[in-house]
Amino acid sequence: MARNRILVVEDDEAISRIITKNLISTGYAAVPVYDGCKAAELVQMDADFDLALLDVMLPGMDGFALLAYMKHHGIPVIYLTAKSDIDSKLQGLRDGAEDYIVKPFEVLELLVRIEKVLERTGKMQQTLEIGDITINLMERSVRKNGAEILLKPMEFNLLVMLAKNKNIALSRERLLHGVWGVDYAGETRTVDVHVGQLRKKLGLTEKIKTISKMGYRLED
Amino acid sequence: MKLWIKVSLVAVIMVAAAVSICNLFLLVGAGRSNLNYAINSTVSAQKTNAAYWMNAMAEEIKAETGAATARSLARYFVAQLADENIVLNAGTDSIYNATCIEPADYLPLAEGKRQYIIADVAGKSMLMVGSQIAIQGTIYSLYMMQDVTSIYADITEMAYRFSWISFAIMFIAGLVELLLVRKLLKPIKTLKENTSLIAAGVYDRRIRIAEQDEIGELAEDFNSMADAVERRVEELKEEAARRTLFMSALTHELKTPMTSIKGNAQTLLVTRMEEEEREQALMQIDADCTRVEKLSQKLMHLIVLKQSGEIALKEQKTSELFAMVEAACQTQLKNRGLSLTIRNQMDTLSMDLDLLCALLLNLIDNAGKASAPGQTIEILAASNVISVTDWGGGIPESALPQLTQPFYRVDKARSRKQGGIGLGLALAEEIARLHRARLAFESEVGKGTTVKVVFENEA
Repeated sequence: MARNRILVVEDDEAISRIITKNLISTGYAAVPVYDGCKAAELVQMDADFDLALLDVMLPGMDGFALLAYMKHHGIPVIYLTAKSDIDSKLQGLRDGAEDYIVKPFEVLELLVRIEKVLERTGKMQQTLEIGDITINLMERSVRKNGAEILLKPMEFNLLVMLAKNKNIALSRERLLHGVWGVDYAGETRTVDVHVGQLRKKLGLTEKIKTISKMGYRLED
Repeated sequence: MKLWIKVSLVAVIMVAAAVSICNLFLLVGAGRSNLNYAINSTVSAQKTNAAYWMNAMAEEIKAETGAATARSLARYFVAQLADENIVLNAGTDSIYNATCIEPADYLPLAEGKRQYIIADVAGKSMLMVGSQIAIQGTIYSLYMMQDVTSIYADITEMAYRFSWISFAIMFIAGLVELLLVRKLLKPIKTLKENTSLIAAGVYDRRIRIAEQDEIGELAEDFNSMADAVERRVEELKEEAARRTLFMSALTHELKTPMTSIKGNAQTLLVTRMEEEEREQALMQIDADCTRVEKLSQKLMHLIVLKQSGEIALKEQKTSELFAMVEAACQTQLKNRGLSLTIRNQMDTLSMDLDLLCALLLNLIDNAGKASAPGQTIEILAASNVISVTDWGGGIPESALPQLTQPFYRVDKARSRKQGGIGLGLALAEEIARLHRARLAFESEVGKGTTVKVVFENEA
């Protein structure tokens, strides 16, 4: 399966490592670059990125300057910066960045924004794979070892959310909110019931881990 | 009530009082002298007439002259005087009276005295002068009368005229005073307008008053006060701007470690990780915490230094200082493969040993970061300057003025990697200030940097 490739241009190695780690865990391919000039050079040679996360304050060439290179190669951009002042935010968006995240950011928020941008730009992978399970988002079908398994709509949605945040623990509240929606006045117990169904139907008892005090995590 | 009204009123009242008193004196004086003149002339006329009449009578009247004859003679002689204002009586017998007044009713005469009276008779003021003349046993009373009504009328008329003049003078004086007072008080008005402006926040306004009087002096004082206020306000504004800048720099400075700490902590919480990765994340959190701690320590240090206006400086041997500096930076320099040479041509310096040592260590640390392994850092102390020189990368000229700004870094990425907080030179400058010294930077890209600590009061 071809995974979404994401270019991470961030000069602070610690932060770059966190981002890369989480991207790789959730099933993206992440390429870290620590310097603006190097990033520009890289996309000239290899423009096969689905998204670029750009820090604004970079050594070599700043994020705003890099945007032109990214646009030239049709790579959508999310800015990632400590500069929270409104001016740079506006400049970033006016110049055509897809989104803007202010440090310090939430890992989950970053993942959601990346997902939204990929969806919006039509670069989102239409199939997700976890082990021997293949999820087709277009067809809304699930196959295990090639054999289709029938899931109820909410079970399917739950599986997709878990698969999209592979290796990331999601709280019951977040799952409830993400799958059943804002207005759903149900209990977190609903999530447990549906997770039980998924485990049973797809044989994911081991792979959907219950994380104490957190929720569930789908691991591959 | 406004000052100009008060002053004008007081002045007008003063003028009115002065004019009134003057008029009163003039009036009384003029009235009295006119009256005296009338009295004197009447008295002397009476005297002359009386003497003439008496002489004539004395010649003609003898002891044996009959009463009727005497009366006729008396009447004849009075008539001779041809004065209709003369009245002659003998007791109650009115011998001659061309007037319709009987003066005896008003002025009963005593013997041997000439008397006068001014009496109101039928709406007229009559002056009557009379004396008794005894001739052969008969006592005659000779009166002379003078109408003095006109004198009183004159005085009244004069009083009217004077009061009109007084009013005119008061009116003119009032007007003139009003104009004068307004002109005199105009600077106060100017002063007031300007003070209101300054009170409203227009601090660059100055008052221009040409007069060299008290108001002029007040304006001068006021201007110097406005100067002081303006200066102070400017200082406060600058201070506020510096603080805002400092705060935003600090916020930015805190965000990097915070992002890293938060990201690592969240990843640890939610993401599936290998043991090795977990350890790495924890170590990163630890390192970032250390960094924040270091930042807060340095910040505290800077704040304390900034707040202390003056510190106790002691005259101490510079050799002691350099020994301390050398001992403190030895390990660090060795790790970087650098060497330090100290050329001390100074004897003593009034200083705080620890703080000055910290300053030099900061400079050496910076020099060390700029230098490549194998290079030398040189400290030279001569006359009133201690300089730290390196032959490292140098600093671009455009960066020189900003070097001592908190959190300013010439090469941000490199400084972070080397563990720089961005407060070193800000601290160094504060320490220099406390030593009444200043920092001077000389640098050329690719050749190296010299930082001089110039002590101002050392010869």
